[in-house]
Amino acid sequence: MLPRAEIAHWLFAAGFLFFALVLLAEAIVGPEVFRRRRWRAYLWPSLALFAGVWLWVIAIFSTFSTLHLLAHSAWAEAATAAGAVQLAVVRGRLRSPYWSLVTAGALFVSGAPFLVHEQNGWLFSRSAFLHHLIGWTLVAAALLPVGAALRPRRAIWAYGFAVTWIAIAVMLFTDRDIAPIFGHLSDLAGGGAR
Amino acid sequence: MNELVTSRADRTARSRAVRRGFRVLVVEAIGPLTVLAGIVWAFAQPYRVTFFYPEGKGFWDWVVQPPLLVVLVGLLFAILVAPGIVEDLEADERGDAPAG
Amino acid sequence: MKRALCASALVALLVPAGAAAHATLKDASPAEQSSVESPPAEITLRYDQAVTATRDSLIVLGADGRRLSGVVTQSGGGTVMRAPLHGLRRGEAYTVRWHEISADGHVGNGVYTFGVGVPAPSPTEAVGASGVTWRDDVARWTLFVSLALLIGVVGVRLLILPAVVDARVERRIHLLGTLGAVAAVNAGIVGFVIRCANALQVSGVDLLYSDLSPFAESTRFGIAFLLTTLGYGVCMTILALAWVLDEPRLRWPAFLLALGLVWGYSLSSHQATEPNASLVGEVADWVHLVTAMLWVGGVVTLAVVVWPLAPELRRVAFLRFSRIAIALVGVLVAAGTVVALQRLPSVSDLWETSYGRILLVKLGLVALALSWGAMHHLVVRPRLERGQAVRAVRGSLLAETTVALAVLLVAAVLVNGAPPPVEAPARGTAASGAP
Repeated sequence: MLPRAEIAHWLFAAGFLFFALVLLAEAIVGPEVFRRRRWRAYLWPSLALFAGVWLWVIAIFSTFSTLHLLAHSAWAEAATAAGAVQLAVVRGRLRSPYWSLVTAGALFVSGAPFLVHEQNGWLFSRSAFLHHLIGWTLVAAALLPVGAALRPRRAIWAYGFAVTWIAIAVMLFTDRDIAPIFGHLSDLAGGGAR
Repeated sequence: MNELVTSRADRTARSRAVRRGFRVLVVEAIGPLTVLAGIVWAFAQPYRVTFFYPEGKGFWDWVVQPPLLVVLVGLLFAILVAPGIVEDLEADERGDAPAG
Repeated sequence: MKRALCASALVALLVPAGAAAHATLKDASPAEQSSVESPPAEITLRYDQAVTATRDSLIVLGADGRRLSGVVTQSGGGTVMRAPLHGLRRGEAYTVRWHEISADGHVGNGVYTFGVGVPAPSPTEAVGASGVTWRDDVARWTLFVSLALLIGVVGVRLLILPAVVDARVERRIHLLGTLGAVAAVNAGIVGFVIRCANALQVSGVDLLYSDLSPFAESTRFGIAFLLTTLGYGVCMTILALAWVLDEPRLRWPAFLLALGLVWGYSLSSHQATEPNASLVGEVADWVHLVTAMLWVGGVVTLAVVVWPLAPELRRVAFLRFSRIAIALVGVLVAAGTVVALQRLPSVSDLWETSYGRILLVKLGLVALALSWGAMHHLVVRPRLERGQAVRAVRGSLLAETTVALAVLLVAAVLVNGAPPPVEAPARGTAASGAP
C-alpha cells in the first residue's frame, strides 16, 4: 500500500512548484505588497515547516539505506529550521537580514547528501543524473540567501530563489528511477524505464 | 519650469502605472501559464497520465499523475493566491490602506 | 505493509515479551575454543531463544581473513543459525564471528576460534570482534541529556516557574527545549545507526549503503526508533512554533508528547523483553526515566536559566522545585529499585556480574547527587525561605548538574549492558506477548 519513491517525489515536486509560484509572485510585486495580507506572509515559511514534518515521515520510511535515512532527516531539519526562522522574520521576532544565512545553510545541507549519495557518474541512469543535478542546484542556490543578506534590496535574489524551486520541481517531476536520460542509459544501469 | 516638473511627474506616474499594470498582468498569468504547461506536458508525454494509459497502474498512479498535478498547482495559485495579490497591488497604486 | 502496521505494533509492544532479549549462546558446533580432528561441513549455533539473523550473522574466517562460510539459514523456530563451510584445512585455525539481534533490539556479538587438528588460538587473536562499544554508550548518554533538556527544562518551565517570566528567561527556555528536541532526534538516529552497524559489522561508506529496514521493522528498538524519530521531529516543530508565535501554551503538547515517547524506550528495554518482563517493570522503567529527566532538567534550569537571568525568581523557583524534588526523588528511587530487583535475581549479582558492578557505580553517583540535593534542601532552602541571601548557590547547582550528567552516563552504559540471565516466572504469573 505504500507508494513507490517516485510517487512521493512527484507529490513533493507539486508542493515545491506551488511554493515556487508563491515566491515568484512575491519577487514580482515586492515584499511590501505581498505581505499586506498576513496569511501570504506566513505562506512560504508554513509550507517549509509542513514539508519538514512530512520529511520526518518520509525519513522513517527510508531505512532501506542508511544514507537515505540520514539525508531525509537532514532535509527535514533543514526545512524546519528555514521555515521557523523565516516565520520569525515575518513576525518581526528576528530583524537582521543575516538571518537569511540560515536558509543558505539549509540549502547547502540539503544539496550535500545528493552529492555524497550518488556513487555513479552523471550519465549512469536518470536517477544518477538527477542526484547530481539537484545536488549542485541546491548547493549553488545557497548563494542566493547569502546575496540577500549582503545586498537585501536587490530583487535578483528573490527571483533566483523562486526559479531554483521551479527547477527543483521540474527535476523531481522527471524522476522515474532508471529511465533513460535523453536516450542514454549505462549498460550497467539495469532494466528499462517504467 | 512648473510645466517641466509637472511633465516629468506625469511621465514618472505613467511609467509607474505601466509597470504596475505589467506586474498585474504577470501575476495573473502565472496560474494559467502553469495550467497550460501541465496540459502541454500531458499531450507531450501522455504515458505520464494514467487516464490515457490505465493498464497495469495501481492506486497511487491514479492519485498522482504529474501533468495533472501541475494543472492543479496552477489552478490553486490562480484561485487562491493571485486574486488577492492583484487586488493589493492595485490598492497600493491607489494609495489605499493595507487590506489586513 | 510492515510499516503501515506501526500503530498496531505499538499496541503489541505494550505487551511485554515473555521470553526474549539478550539471547545467550547455548552451544556451538564446532565448539568454542575447541580443536576438531577433521574440517566440518557446516557450523551451527544454538541460542536459548529466537533471534533475528542477517545474511552475515555468522561468518567463519580464515587466518588470512578469507570468508569460508556460506549464507546463513535458520531453523528451530529461529533459535538455530547455521552456515555451510568450504575450504577448511587440517592444521589451520579459524575465527567464528557471530552476531544476532535479540527481541529487545540489542545486538549480541561473539567471537571464538577453533582449530582443525591444531589448538584453537586465543580469542584475542581472532579476526574482528564487535559488540556494544563506547559509541553506543555515548549515543545513549547524548540521548539522555537531550531528554533532560526537552522534558526536564520544558517541564520545569510549565510546572514550576510562574506563568509570566522575563523575556530573556523565556528565550533561554525556548533555546534549551528546542536544542533538546533536535539533539534527541539526532542522538536517536545516530544510536540506531550505530546499533545496526554493530550487527551488520560494516562501517564507513559500506554502512551508508546498508539496508537497515530489517532492524527498523523486526526489532523493538527499531520500531521504537521509528516512532520516537517522528515524534521528536514533531516536538521540535511545535517548540519552534511556540517561540515564533509567542505561544508558550504550545509547550504543553510538546512536553506531553515527549513524555509519551519515552515509553518507546521502556518498551524496548530489558524491562519489556527479559524472561521475567511484566507491565509493572515497564511502567517502573518509564517512571524512572521520566522522573530522572525532570529532576536533572530542574537542576539545569535553576543553574543556567533562573540564577543568571532572573534573580527575582530565584527564591520562588528554588522553593517550588525543592518541594517537587522530594517527590521526584522518592518516586525515582522507588521505580529504580523495582527495576533493579527485576534485573538482578540475587544480591550477589551486584558484585559478581559486570551489570551489577556498573549499577553499584551508578548508585554511588546517585547517592552523591542526592546528598548534594539534600544539602540544598536542608541548608539553602531554609535561608531562602527566611529571605536571606545565599552565596555560591549557582556553583553548587552546576556541581550537582555535573554529578547528574555523570549518573546519566553510567545509566547509558548500564542500559546498553547485558544483565545477568533471569528465569521466567511460573506460568500464570507473567504477561506473555509478541517479541
